[in-house]
Amino acid sequence: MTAPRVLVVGGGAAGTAAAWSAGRAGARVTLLHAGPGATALYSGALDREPWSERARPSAADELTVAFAVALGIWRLGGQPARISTLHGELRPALGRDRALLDLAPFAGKCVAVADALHREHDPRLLVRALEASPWARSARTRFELRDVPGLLDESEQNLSSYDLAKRFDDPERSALVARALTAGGEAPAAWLLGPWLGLEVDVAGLLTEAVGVPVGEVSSPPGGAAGGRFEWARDRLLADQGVSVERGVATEISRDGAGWVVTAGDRQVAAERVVLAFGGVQAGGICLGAVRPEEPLSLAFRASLAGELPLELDGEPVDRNSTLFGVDFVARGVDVLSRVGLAADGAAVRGCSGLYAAGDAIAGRPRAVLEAIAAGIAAGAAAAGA
Amino acid sequence: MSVESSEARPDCDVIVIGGGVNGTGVARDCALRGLSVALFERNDIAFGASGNSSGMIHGGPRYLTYDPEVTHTSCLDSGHIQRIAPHLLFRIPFLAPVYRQRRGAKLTLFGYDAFFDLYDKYQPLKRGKPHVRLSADDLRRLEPGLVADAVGGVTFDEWGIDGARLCIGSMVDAIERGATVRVHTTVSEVLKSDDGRATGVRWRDRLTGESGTTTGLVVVNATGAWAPITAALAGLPPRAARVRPGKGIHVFLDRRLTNYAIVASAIDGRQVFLMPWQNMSVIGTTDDDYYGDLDAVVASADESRYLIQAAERVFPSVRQARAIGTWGGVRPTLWGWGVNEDKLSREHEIVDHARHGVDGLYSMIGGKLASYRIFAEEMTDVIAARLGNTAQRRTHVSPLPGGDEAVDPFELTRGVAIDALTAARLEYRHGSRALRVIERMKQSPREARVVCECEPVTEAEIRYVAEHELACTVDDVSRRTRLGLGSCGGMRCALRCGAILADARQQSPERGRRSALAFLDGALARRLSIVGPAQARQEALALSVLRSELGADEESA
Repeated sequence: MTAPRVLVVGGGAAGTAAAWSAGRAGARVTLLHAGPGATALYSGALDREPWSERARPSAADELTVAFAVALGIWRLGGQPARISTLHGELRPALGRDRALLDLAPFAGKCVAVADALHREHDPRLLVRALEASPWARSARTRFELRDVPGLLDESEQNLSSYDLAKRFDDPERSALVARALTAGGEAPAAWLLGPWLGLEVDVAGLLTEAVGVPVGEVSSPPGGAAGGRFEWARDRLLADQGVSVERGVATEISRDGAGWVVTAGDRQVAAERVVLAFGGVQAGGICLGAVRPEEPLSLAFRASLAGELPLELDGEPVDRNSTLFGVDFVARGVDVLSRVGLAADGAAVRGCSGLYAAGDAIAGRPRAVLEAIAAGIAAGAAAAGA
Repeated sequence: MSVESSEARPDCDVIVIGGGVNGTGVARDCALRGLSVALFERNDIAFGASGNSSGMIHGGPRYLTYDPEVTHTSCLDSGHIQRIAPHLLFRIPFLAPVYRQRRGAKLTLFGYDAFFDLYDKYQPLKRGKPHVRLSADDLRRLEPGLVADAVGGVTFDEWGIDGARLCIGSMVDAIERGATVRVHTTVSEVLKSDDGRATGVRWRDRLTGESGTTTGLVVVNATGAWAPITAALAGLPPRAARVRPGKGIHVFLDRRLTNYAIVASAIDGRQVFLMPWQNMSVIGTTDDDYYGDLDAVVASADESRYLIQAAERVFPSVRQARAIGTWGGVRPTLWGWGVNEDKLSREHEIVDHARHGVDGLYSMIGGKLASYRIFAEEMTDVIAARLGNTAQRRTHVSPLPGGDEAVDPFELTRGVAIDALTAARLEYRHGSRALRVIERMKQSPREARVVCECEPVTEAEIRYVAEHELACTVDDVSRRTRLGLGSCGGMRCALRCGAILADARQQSPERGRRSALAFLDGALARRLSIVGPAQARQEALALSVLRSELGADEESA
């Protein structure tokens, strides 16, 4: 019996994990994605639940850690980290992008914050927030604003942090930064910089080595460096695994004998098994489309993919509703969008054989990257199974 | 409730409740005439109808047929407002197309033409241009985006204004002339002497919890749609200050679709319009009885669809634009029974509650943005007469802050690191006071940094409105600067604005974050009703990404 052909739709954390896990199980895998999604916009922090919900942290499972190792840019496992958000909240995180500075080891110490003003990063306000944070106060961690001449030039202040991170990939640039950080003054316990420490190169690692104390960054703004690093690492991982990658927006999925055909623009991709992992938190991996083209004002939920994909919201099917316009977003509250997902029995889509779904909404934990990965791994393995 | 001896000197002459266009207008007028004033606003300046109107100082052509005197007054007053706040006004040329499907289209066009012939007589009062009758070809040339089957149309000329900035201008002027203004401070009771005379108010600051009483000789209820509630605080039955609250919403789109305001008919025959506003477009407006929570007026999905549907019929590319928000307000129209909302009078009246047994309490009922100045003047005349004040009326000649002289935006960019667009928007909002914001940037070049890129708004302006315009929350800053109202919905700027605001007001960073969160929740609630198919995904995405940056209060470790 030949290995099944698996098509993964979506190139975020869930889709990448599904492709990785299906590949490991011996499937021939194709991944179709439409460009940056939720994971490409993430902050660099890895959690199993939204950190604002403050649930007890539980360790990531072995397979998720193995995926993180394969991806090569994350620190996961061991003690939870304490990272600074862009606006100076000190939050716990189960794992993190390796460039993010873990502040947990610096109780009672002084961390230097480089005073380099950038349009997405104001060190002065950051220090103000860090100093006021309850964690820093109880851990007696101090923060000191330090002038680092030449860290950014004036024109770079208006560059997006993504583009800026790209510039830091240049080895000459990171050497220059290392010199600036070691020039003069007592060495701090660690350096906290803006979210620009490289895209493809582990600049934080290089700087830590050169400066002699940990150098790291705050978490990324939406569309910042952390997402860029994920995309780069994803592409490398998929290439290493021999996954063929296609770009395009899936617009239709239909039955083809025992398998499925997915249409993306003018292309059609056939596969025995399909993993739907597009959208991530975006409405749980569904598109929204007008129900009746002749009535453009109608605004009902429906998968843009042809074929009846059952959708759920809090355990209730969303295709049954009592308004002309479909689900009433307003009445359901502002969080409704992140709670809609395909009706799933574990990794499989309910009532659709050969179709699997992955994503954080599928996992029932919107906004949690690690749960999206765990769901992806499960869906990939199920799709590759006999 | 009685207060101690009436012989004691009151804290001020006039107490104004309400910080809308009428309340700030009265406070300013009283201050200009040398009266001491205390103003209390429950939410923020221009929180209600004043900051959520269509933003037009129009000449009232709709009154022309039955009450030309009103049109005359409106046009005259529009001219006055242009004189005192020239920086806030912008010309809005209207196109009113007439379509073929309508029976007697040619006759309608002829009627429009004759009607605006009459209206043209009043246009010079407000520096308006006379109307032009357009052929179908003219219309197509002027605005190719209109559907093609018009038989012709007319143009007419009106003026737009930022209603919130107008209120802020009046408030700042009042403060500079000695008035005390408390925002986010609700009045919980109108105090009365034993003989029933209004002697002051009991108030409570909703942000700090601080409370107190302030005494005065006259109390003015200028609370718009809240007027009956305010009257009840004096022990009066709500009908003593009765309004018919009419909710009106607007939808705004992410791009400037046309350079003209375009008149369209809604499904029920009501007239609505599509209007350019800087780099965006606005569709307005609805008019429906409203008995919900006045502190939380949000456009419903039905109302939004009603407007988009109407605009789309005459301007189809509305559908391609992305709706990025709504705003809603409640008009305090004069009460009437058995009348359709649109037919209700937009007139105003002053209720002297002496006839209900509370001497010294007045309610300002009704009115509209375009006639706020004259309404405030009439109210102040009553107060002045009562208090024996004979100072001259000056609100029509004395400029609002920033309206005294014109400044060139290009000149503003000299020596500071801001671009011409940032300077032009700054100048629009602040007039000559923009120089003060620029001065901040010269003192502290960091403040020239743009925080909200959609508008754009600089750090210096945020700090300026916090220090000089009583902005306490991110929402308040947004009302004064339009921060966070662009296509990103505050996603990129709200948190930074909160941090800057907390710093400027010497509050904890945590408080700044909470303020940003409250703003973002509100912005999303206002956007939810117009989320379109493709947009819903992006909204969900934006929301999820933002949440990664926002936590609840840090756990106490």
